[in-house]
Amino acid sequence: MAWQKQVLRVDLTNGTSHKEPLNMEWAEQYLGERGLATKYLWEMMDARTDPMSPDNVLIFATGPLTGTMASTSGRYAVVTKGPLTGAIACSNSGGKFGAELKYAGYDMLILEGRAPEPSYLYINDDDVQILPAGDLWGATVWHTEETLKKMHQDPQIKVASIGIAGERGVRYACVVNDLHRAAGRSGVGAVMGSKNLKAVAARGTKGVRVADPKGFMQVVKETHKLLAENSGVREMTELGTNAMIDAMQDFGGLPTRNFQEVQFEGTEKINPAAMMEKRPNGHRNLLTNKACFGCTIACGRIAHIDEDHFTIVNRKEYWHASGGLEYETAFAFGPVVGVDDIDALTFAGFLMNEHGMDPISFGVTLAAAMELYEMGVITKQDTDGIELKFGNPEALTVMAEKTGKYEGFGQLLGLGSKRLCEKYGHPELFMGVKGQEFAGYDSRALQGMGLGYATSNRGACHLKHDTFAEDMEDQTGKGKALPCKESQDATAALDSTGICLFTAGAWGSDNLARQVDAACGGGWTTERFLEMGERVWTLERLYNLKAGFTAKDDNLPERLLKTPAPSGTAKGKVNELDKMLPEYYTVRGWNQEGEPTEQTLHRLGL
Amino acid sequence: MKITVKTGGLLYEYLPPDRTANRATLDIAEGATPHQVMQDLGFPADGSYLVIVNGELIAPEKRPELRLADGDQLSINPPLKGG
Ligand code: SF4
Repeated sequence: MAWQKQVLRVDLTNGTSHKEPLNMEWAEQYLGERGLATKYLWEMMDARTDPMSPDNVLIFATGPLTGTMASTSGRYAVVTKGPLTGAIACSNSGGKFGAELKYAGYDMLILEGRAPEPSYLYINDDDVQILPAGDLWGATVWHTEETLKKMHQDPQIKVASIGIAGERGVRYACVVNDLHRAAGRSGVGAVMGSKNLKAVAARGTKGVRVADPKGFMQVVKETHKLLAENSGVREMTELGTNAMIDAMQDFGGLPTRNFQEVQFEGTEKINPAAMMEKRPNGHRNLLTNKACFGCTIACGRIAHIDEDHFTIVNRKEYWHASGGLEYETAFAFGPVVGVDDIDALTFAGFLMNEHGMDPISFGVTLAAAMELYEMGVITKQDTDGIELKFGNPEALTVMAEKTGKYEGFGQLLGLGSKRLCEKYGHPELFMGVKGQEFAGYDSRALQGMGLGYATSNRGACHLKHDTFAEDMEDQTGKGKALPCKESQDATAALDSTGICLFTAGAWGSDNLARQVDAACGGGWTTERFLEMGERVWTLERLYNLKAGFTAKDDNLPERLLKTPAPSGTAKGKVNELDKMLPEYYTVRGWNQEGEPTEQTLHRLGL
Repeated sequence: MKITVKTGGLLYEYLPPDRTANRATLDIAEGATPHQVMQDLGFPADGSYLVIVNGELIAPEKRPELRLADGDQLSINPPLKGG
């Protein structure tokens, strides 16, 4: 069986830990990772709990395919109640940490309570210790990882940690593992900080057994081939996810200057061609690509900054290679804040990883602050003397660092866009849903994206559904509800396996189900796999309803509903959420208050 | 008549050798459609593309119908996806 059938439960308040058997009845219903962690969270805590209180539960969960020979099998999810939204948070990361945690013998790590002093957790197979963080409290993610490897004299240790942002409760602080891979969204790092937990350092040597090794090997061989032959995958390998920026610009779906516009004049200065261009001084932004554990796609970018650039000219500690621009970071440090200086964008990306923050939420929050500044609502007196205008690269990098270190105006940016805009009396400038900022897609051009954003259980998110095909063909609200619902369920199922979402275009649910079936001992048809996804989605919804969310929260900002797109292929259009949402509730088997009906709950065994 | 073509992602590989990065000027027959232009350039027929002419989205069923005009700007991108 591909599960380790063991959970590590840590009570930080009392400084104890124990191992317990994985609830296999639940595993058969919720599989692993996102799904199974949601079930544990639902059973373990009251959804009305304050996310920053010790009563919140923080779960690191692998899936049955994590650590196997399936491609992209390094994934794990961090599931908790999110402090940015007050909704369920599920952030998923790659790198190598997830597989290592599983090799140590655990499907899941459940963290409860709050440590009396700053601590870190050391796991070496069966040896589990809660140790004092000492000087690591207040250190960066990068320093923490390096120090823990040295302290334990083991370079093979994999570390997931938080920076000062997480320690100080920046609402969108993330958990970073392997230096530049992150469980990025919804503030899961702030929950870790509220538990006085700096890091989890894991070392595992146990491997993973699958139920049918021969059958699994065969299906893995076939699915590897599907990835190798897929043109979309090839593009991801060669250009990274930022390949999307040119298409989004042409389409007119690239949110610019806090979603006031939908196309950005500086796109060609920050696209993959610009990353690869050799400059007159010989510098080239992009160095190479990089893969997470077991991944045959390798979408990650490794880049460096020109040493003469204003951001690092006197800071040798940044004269090295690290995670480079991806589509979402290019959007969040580029168009949405109006900046087109590729080195400044790259530096902002380094700072996010070093200090542990979600680039999307940071960028969109900064964009709102810039709009407030240009309106005259905030001035240089508020911003520590920084000219917070759209397009100012210094404003981007200085504020990224201030937020990461929780200094000056950075403390206010750390509230997230919703709280910041409310504080200054302009809630209408918050560009997001349920307290979480939008990703780099404007839902006037991409109608189904708007529905996905509005109904996403963790607040605005582009990774929990896939209606791109429908959005490319028709820019009205027609025909979006069913594909939105079906792709949400399929994504929830995928997120419960331990596999990366970027396989979806080449594999589809059937090929995922085949791998799960061979690894987990049979019985996993595509139908059962997708029903599991629907069960996960619905349970997340139940959690949010219990936490106090209602249909009113399935909404979009007025800017997207009332102000027509000023240019692009959707010029003159607004998002038609009012047409899509009732149909969406119907296809979900929910009433018009957005609550699952008894019949639906019964059908899903909830 | 002449049109300009701009491609996204790796689709520049289908442009003629005299392309400049991801752009090319093409001499096409009077009244040619986006579908014909893409066919002539060798775009795989079973592929999915985002096609825009002069800033206007052209749905797949319109691609064999729309007559291109001199000076038109045809933009061909791979399908949109999340990242
Ligand atoms: S596709 Fe990219 S994000 Fe996904 S596992 Fe591979 S390298 Fe990591």
